Amino acid sequence: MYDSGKIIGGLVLFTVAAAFPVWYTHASGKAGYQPNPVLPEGKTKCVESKEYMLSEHMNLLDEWRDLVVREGQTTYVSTAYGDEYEMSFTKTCLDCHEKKEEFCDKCHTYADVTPYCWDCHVEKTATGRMQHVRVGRQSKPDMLSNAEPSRRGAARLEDKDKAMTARIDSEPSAVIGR
Amino acid sequence: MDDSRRSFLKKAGLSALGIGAGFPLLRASVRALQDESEQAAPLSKQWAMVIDIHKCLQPEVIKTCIEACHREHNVPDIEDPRKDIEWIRTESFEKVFADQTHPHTQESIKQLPVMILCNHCASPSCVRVCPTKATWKREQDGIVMMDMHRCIGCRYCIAACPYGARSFNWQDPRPFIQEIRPEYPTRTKGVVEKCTFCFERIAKGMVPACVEACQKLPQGAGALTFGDLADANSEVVKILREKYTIRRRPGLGTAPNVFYVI
Amino acid sequence: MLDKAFSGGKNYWGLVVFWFAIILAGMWAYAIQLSEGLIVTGLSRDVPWGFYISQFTFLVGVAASAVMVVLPYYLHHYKAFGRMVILGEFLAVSAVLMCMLFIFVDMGQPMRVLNVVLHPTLNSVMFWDMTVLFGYLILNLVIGWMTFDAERKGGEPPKWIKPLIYLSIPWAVSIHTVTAFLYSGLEARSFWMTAILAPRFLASAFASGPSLLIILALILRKFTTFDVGSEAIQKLAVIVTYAIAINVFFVAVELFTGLYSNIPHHLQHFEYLFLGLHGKGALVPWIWTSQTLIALALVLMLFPGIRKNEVLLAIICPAIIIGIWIEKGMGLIVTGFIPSPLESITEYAPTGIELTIALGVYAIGFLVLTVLYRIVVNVREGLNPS
Ligand code: HEC
Ligand code: HEC
Ligand code: HEC
Repeated sequence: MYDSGKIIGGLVLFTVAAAFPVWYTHASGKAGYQPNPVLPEGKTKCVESKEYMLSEHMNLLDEWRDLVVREGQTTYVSTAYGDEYEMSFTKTCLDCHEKKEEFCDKCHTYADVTPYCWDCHVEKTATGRMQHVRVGRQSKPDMLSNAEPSRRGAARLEDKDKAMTARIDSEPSAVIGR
Repeated sequence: MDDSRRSFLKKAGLSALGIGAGFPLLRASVRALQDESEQAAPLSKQWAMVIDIHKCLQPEVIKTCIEACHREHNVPDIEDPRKDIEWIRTESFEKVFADQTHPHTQESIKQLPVMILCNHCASPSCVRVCPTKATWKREQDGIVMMDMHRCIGCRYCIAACPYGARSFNWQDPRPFIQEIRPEYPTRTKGVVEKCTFCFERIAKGMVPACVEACQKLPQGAGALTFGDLADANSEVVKILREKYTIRRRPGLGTAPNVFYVI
Repeated sequence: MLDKAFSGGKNYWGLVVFWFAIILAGMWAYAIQLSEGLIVTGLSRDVPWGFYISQFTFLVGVAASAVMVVLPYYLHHYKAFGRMVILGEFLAVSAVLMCMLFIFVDMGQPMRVLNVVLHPTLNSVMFWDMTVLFGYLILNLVIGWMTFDAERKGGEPPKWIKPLIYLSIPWAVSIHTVTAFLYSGLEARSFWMTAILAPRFLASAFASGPSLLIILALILRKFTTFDVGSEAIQKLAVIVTYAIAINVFFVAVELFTGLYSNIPHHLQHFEYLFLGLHGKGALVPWIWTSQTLIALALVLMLFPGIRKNEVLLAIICPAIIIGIWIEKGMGLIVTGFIPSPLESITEYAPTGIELTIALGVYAIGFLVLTVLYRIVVNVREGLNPS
């Protein structure tokens, strides 16, 4: 039927239009800007050759993950250099590449990928300590602005802290409002 | 009998035949499933734990074990028990061993705290139901592992576990971790987690964190013992030979690898 | 044929806008659940499945029940179902869609749902359930569309559709059987571990699904020119009567085994459901409502005089649907978890967000149904203008 063609065409057009943000950044965002990740000082080589790391580091990580978690292995022997490494995301990669923001993130922002690994694997700061020390006071207002459930959790944590409870009482809308 | 009914009967007969032919297949697959049970050839290595209930009664021992585990693995401390996450915890004797208590059991015995954790069963129900193999039994050492990277958070394993050993991340756990240990990953919202017998420590020749922690306490010596069930000279096998031990809910056929000296 | 979805009266467009409004609310609630996690639900460590999975279980039944019109029409050439059959097939399409969405919104990591396909696990019933559900969706979509399109053009459907139709009959049975196996294979939950679960699911499905079809047919007759015919409705009413009677029997069989054997592990669940346990009994009023509705409906349906009165039928059918919706939804799923294996009693009630998401899923299903039925009605009106 002649109308079906139009409708399907319309649907396709709509999908393309709705996906605008996706294809637009892909088409335009990459030009003219180089990521320049900061390489670790005092170290000369990575686990594998630079070219290999550039193109394959995500696959290497996946391979490590499966070898450790599923096969129960721990050491990796570099095919390029023959060095041995403990297959660990935090303990090996991030030991050399200490500053995630100046290394991994630089490229990923550029390439528009957000590996979800950091949801669980903990990044180290420059001193080698982890950033996310504990639920400090700074993070509280942030949590309060979230929707109800974590607010509940936050409020509970704060219960331990009388001063904070008082603050909540003085700002009822932030806690009860919804 | 009209035509349609006759043709229906014919079709029904044919499908019955199909089912009949499928039966041997079914039997083969059931057999394959049963292979996971204890009667099948034992694994060349099977990590196991013996918990001495009497030596685990002191609050200090209990607290030390639990804290060591939870600190080691960044397990959050959430106050609402309905949403909490625990790898190792205590429950009263009457709940853990409901089959072993009766109305005349001494109240003091019923209330004894008993340490519970994942049993790393020989025939684990959770592994049977997982749709993605995100939880599976490692052949090399019998650990029931969890791959947090693959878990889709369907919670079928929680429904299947007869021991309540699994927890789900109802929310982002990080705000509830007192101090994050960067060496071990935290988890995200939406995945299931549980005790892994410290697979990452075992890989380096160490014993699990809970075992190590209580061994360090003077009162805790011998409270938890860890070893290879397939090794006739291991400490756990020795205890199992010498003392009377029980397992949780033996009637279900899951064959736990955590044993209790009572 | 799709273009037929775009012509309709005020009622039609009003309904479409109504569904869209609910869908929007559902999406808003789901966005919250995505960012906060399943903490926004009433679920807990002890009760890990709740409202979503209950809806899923109920809707698999609705989907499977299409077989109750397909089988008489195609195997027995029962002509009176000629106009009903397409309604059944399209209802199945929308019900399966809702089932899959309910599984999806229940997941902790929905982005990883493809892992089920990437790492197929043959020993997991959930893997099979997703497979058969997806197959059923495709089957009904293809069969419904092809046969209806052929009818519109006044020709015969292609030959290859016949085997698909025959395949869809055992397939319908399989989706509900496999869904029952999800639960009945768990040694940890004695409440579900009963061989009668799959037959019970089928019986309740063949009562609730056709009841819904009757209501939909009555609505179509009232608001459009599309009439499936009284004979078809009456035949469905008879099917519903048999099915509800069998369902009551199956539940009674189960109650007997549970109560007479007197095994505490088994008994406690029934106690919680019907009487409450240790002072906790959130489900008690619900289950009694459900059982009363089902019993009343059964008694009334047994009288042909009542059954033949379409006004009464329009009242009894919703009662059956609600009764079964409670019985095999929350009544079955949540009770399976209470008490827990460690004998603790943690109760469950869905939260507002959970309910909103569920409503949103239902709205998506009903939107699809509305559009599909609109097409059916428009095409029929074009075929024989009144
Ligand atoms: C021993 C220290 C060390 C370890 C461990 C290490 N890297 Fe490297 N990495 C380096 C050095 C040095 C370079 C620069 C290499 C060069 O210039 O040849 C580099 C380069 C890279 C590059 C290419 C960046 C660029 O712009 O050239 C990537 C990607 C990378 N590493 C990722 C990783 C990952 C992922 C891991 C863990 C699997 C890891 N590295 C472990 C030291 C290390
Ligand atoms: C030289 C630039 C560069 C550096 C440095 C770099 N990456 Fe990447 N990474 C990329 C690019 C580009 C992609 C996307 C590849 C693709 O989409 O095929 C990527 C993808 C990934 C992925 C897969 C993500 C996904 O969604 O598919 C992971 C995991 C990853 N990187 C981890 C790391 C880690 C960890 C580091 C720091 C130790 C790091 N990368 C450093 C360029 C880099
Ligand atoms: C849901 C939380 C989570 C996410 C997200 C996650 N991991 Fe992991 N990862 C873990 C946990 C927990 C372990 C420890 C083993 C286990 O129990 O699965 C681990 C272990 C690993 C290991 C081996 C051991 C080690 O110490 O590093 C590697 C390699 C790894 N992950 C890589 C990754 C990569 C690459 C990503 C992102 C593409 C990622 N992980 C995302 C939780 C996570």
